[in-house]
Amino acid sequence: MTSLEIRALYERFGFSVYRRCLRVLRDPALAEDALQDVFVRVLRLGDGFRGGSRLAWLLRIADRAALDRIDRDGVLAPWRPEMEEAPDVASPLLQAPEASRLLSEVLAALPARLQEVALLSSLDGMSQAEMAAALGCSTMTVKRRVRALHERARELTAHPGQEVDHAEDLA
Amino acid sequence: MPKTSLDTAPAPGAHPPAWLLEQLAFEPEAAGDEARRHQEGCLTCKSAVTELTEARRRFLVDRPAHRFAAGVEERSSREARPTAGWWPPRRWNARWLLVPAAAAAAVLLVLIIPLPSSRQDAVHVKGAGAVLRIFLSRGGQAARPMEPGMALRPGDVLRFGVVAPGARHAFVASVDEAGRFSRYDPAGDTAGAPLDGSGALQLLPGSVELDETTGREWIVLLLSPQPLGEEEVRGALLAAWRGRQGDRLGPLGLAAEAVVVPVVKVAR
Repeated sequence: MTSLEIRALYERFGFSVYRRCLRVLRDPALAEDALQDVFVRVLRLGDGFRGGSRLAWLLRIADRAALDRIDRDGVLAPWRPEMEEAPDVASPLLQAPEASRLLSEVLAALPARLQEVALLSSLDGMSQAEMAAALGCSTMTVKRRVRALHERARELTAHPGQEVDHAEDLA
Repeated sequence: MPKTSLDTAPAPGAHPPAWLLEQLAFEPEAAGDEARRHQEGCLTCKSAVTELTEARRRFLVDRPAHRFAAGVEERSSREARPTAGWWPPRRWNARWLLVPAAAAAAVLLVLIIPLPSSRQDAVHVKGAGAVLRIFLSRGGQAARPMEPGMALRPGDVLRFGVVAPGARHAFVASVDEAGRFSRYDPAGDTAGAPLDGSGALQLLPGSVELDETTGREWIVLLLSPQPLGEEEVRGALLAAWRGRQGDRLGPLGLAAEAVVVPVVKVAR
């Protein structure tokens, strides 16, 4: 991918990517870094786009970049109710502060595959069929992961700081 | 198992979910007829989409595209270190091209002179028989096997060789002490060809030129019956990095035979 293509992609979708990173990371400086991570990755990897929605493709890369930053730092900025109202974060018609709060509590402690499902479920409001299409896996797999996600979320909120055994979530 | 409030999917027939609204705003051609029809007849959704496009306009005023693209390009050049094996093996390729096909086997014999023990480098080797050999070309000089304890420098060009019985898929990646993941082989999004199963040393395609980053890094060879995906390898390496103790990575938690080689990169 050329620099000009990167620029065009950024003009069209950069805001969405930043917004996504901000909604995951809850820290504007970290979100700016993750935004750059995404486009550096795209510039280096070339056009890994396989058709469909370019926005969806970029947002999956954004999820990965933001989750990598959480993995690296091991912490996530605490949830603040006012954050939901920030113009770059607020999601029209998606008034789900409880989901945002819960997501911020459990995200860092979840295994990677459940993190993806958690983001698609709570930030995008995707159905299980939509998640399956976005992740390129079967609906059965998504069902299993969603079930595991709810179990983990419940355990983590009941016992904050608890270590999560990833093994059984990797199916 | 009852759901938690992480699930925000709208009820059927309600307004489109958040992801679709965003698509209506920024990529309407991919949003589908049904969503577009809903938006045309729904004042609430129309206004939500207008709100999003206006927010993007403000965003681009604060962060102009030309400045952002320049930053991306600058960083990409600075970190001139590939995350995949598609990196053109410049010095190596030039060297290979000079070698007549008939002499290739002889050259390989030179390259595979065994290290004192390549396993001295390995923090742990799971299973039996798998070896990762790292060949190093520095300053355009002839490539040679990397020796135990040898520090790497920016600009060094590495190529990987694998000895493994059985036709399995190899994946080579690394994680550095700051938790940065890099994919070396196979290239890009490809699964790569399986090893030939002969048990002889097999050079993986492509080479890697090291960037200016210094410090400790773990280069990991994974051998598996089926190709591994980048995301599962990334997740496993980051988990192992989080569980590291001294110069040992933690458990990888992958169904793959693993060879881990810790290396240290120092400034020129």
